[in-house]
Amino acid sequence: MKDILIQIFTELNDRITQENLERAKDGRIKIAAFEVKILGQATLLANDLIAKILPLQMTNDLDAVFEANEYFATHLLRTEILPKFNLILDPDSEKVWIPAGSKFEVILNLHHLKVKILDPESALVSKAIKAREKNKVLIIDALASELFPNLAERIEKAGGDLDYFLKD
Amino acid sequence: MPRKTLKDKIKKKAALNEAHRKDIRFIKTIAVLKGKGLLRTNLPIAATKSARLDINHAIWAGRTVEPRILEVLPAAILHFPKTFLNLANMPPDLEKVVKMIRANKEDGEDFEGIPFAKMRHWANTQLRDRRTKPVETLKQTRTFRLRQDAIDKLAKLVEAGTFPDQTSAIEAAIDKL
Repeated sequence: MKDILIQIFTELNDRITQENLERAKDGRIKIAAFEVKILGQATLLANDLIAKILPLQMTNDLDAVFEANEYFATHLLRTEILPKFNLILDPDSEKVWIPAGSKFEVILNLHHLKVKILDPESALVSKAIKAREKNKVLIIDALASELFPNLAERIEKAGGDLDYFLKD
Repeated sequence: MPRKTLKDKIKKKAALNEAHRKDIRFIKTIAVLKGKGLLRTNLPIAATKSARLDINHAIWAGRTVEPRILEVLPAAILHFPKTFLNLANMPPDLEKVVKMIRANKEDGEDFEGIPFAKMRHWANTQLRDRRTKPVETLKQTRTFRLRQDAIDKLAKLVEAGTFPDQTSAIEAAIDKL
């Protein structure tokens, strides 16, 4: 998944370079550099260590939040770049809850954009609280993996119920 | 619950999850949905395009192992009905969801905790193969009795090349309403 994200956002960066050249010729305002935060299941699949240990399934939606409301970039992603990778931009990406204490890792730092992914433990806390039905098996597997020493505590601190994940 | 007991229960449950992932019903479901471009996985399960899948096995895999299977299942049933065995025996609540999506209804009932909107969304998403059309763009047959002058006008519009066919002319007129 990390490779796919790198390909997607490198292509986006290249297309912005072309667009800015066109805009410079016409005397229009150039697209300013911006940041993209990747959330959801893609953050787990993009983390090499986690993806090696946790069994993960993903539908074809990518949760990505843009720092600036950059129409050119989001439109290009939606209509041209993401379909090449059989992905769609989740329109509800902005609604993904980011728990307190979350960290972001930069996976790509290009001229026009910087791509960051949410740390896996925080992604799991978010799933355990906001989408627990869909992630019952994933949370148990993550807790059992012992890769996340603070996961149980963070879920409980955020109001989650660990017993729920143990029910049949 | 004491931490030690909790930890033991988690380990036990994780071992059960692992056993479920080795179940042929789960493996086959993932292989088929991966082959259809509806789901991706990091498990070493090869995608298949030709295998046939028992609907009850897919439901079991969705309920027991991966609820994302249930999220895309109505889309798979609608786009690839021949892939599934025992479709006639699918649970009535799933059948209802499929019917509501096929009829392009905005609202419907959830299935196994999966919101209707999510299942509808995947049925209306263009797949990689480009041959499979989103359900909402599929044409449905309707019969109307039109006045002769309206029929003549439709024929003239097609003859003049304004529209490729009479259906497109009617759709364009509806879009303007």
